[in-house]
Amino acid sequence: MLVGGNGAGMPVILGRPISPLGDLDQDRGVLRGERLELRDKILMFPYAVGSSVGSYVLYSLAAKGLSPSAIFVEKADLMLVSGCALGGIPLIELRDEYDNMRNRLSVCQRAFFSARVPDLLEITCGGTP
Amino acid sequence: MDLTGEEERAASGEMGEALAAAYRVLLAVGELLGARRLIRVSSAHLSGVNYANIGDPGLEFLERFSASAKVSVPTTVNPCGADLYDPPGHVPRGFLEKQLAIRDAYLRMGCAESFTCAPYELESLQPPGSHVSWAESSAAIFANSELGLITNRESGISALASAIAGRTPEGGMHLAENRAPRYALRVDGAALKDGGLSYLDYQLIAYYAASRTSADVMALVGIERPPRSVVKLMAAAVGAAGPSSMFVFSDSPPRDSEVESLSRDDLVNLRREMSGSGSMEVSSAMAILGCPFYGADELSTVAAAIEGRRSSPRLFVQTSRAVELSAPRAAAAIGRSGATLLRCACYPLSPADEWLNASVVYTDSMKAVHYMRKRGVNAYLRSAAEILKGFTS
Repeated sequence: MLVGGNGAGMPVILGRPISPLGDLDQDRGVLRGERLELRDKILMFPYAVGSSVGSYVLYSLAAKGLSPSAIFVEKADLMLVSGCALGGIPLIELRDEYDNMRNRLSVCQRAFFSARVPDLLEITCGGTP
Repeated sequence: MDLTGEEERAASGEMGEALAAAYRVLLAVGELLGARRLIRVSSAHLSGVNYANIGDPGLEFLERFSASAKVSVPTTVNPCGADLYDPPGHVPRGFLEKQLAIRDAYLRMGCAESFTCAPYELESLQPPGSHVSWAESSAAIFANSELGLITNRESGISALASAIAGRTPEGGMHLAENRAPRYALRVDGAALKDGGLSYLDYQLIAYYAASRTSADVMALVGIERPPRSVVKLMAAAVGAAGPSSMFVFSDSPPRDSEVESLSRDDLVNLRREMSGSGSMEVSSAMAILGCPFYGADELSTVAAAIEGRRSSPRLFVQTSRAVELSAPRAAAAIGRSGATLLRCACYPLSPADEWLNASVVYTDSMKAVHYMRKRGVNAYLRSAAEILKGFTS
């Protein structure tokens, strides 16, 4: 757990890393490749790549109310941590728990989470597809 | 992390959202580093100023954030992408306007009007042993390696959070046990022949070592500590080549360090790769000196070499406004020669080569060569003496 918070969203599980600068449109709040709105989503991907300017993109999304409800990653880095922390986007680093969580969330239409630093995470699945 | 009562209140938002955001960053970075508490810092140095680097996302962030954020410790900031004091005609107006807006945002937050990558060339440096929070890898590495200051290689945002909160997580380089070398590069005696090492060689050695290791601290074995101005260039080369935060000079490989060797052939090959061969093609080229930014001594040395000669305006000499004001005669001599003095601009990291339609860039900084080549520029490492000879008559 790197940035805590409570919330809910539809899990969006990506098999590839994300470059916040480039992959996320900070003006429209969408994931460019998938053309998917980020709001009200739990965005899950293994790790981030790309320019450290990505921190600013995450902050701007949050400041405009366009950010995902939370970001779940296998491994976090300074860019992701800075951007999420600044914007108040809950950021959960799962490490060894990543695959488990991915399996759990993959059958979940909407998940509710409660995350507290350093290591409390509760997940409830609210309805299956 | 264990927070004091005051820190708890600040983190909870009782003292404003900007301060709470700064604490969120420090707590999250602290978790990432495994730190147990926050410690006070006596200064901060921020990166994230050049519009060519941070673009519109950075500008938008700074405009929003600076509306309420204020720094609480002396804070200096990195260079801009263009000289804002006397902008040369080749800088596009749109770029200049956005760069000015970025400058204003940092000044609004209370940062010093510094705009330099070498904050240690300014006055009022903290005493050795002080904990600071410096972004800009060349400055952070120089702080640890030469000045006896203690800092992690911060990101622009983590350093900004430290500047606002006046604190940094006590992890990484702030802990004495993490400041021992875990990697050593032994420079073969044979590499030292041929009349010893030039200051370009020192940079190449530092660059090579840093590209070989992810150790926080590395040792260079078998070479003497060069003058401060050369250590400065080495620190910049280390920051460009790898993740290390500090380097030391030692007679023999430190205990518990992984040891590699650099042979004479390695050095000759690296020199050839970075410097190219033959004489300089000056007509469509430009040249950059002062990466990292010159201090007063270096500015005076160049001024003395250029005095009485006529320089191409495409010879750029980078320093800060404060250093220019502290060495007015040297600055004036460089200006009189026809060379272009830049007092807050970092041309290796701005599209200056495009603005000037330069097909080749010469510089005596390995860091500058590294980043310009990454952008696809034909950049070559040549000594200041050779550059001054080629670009003046």
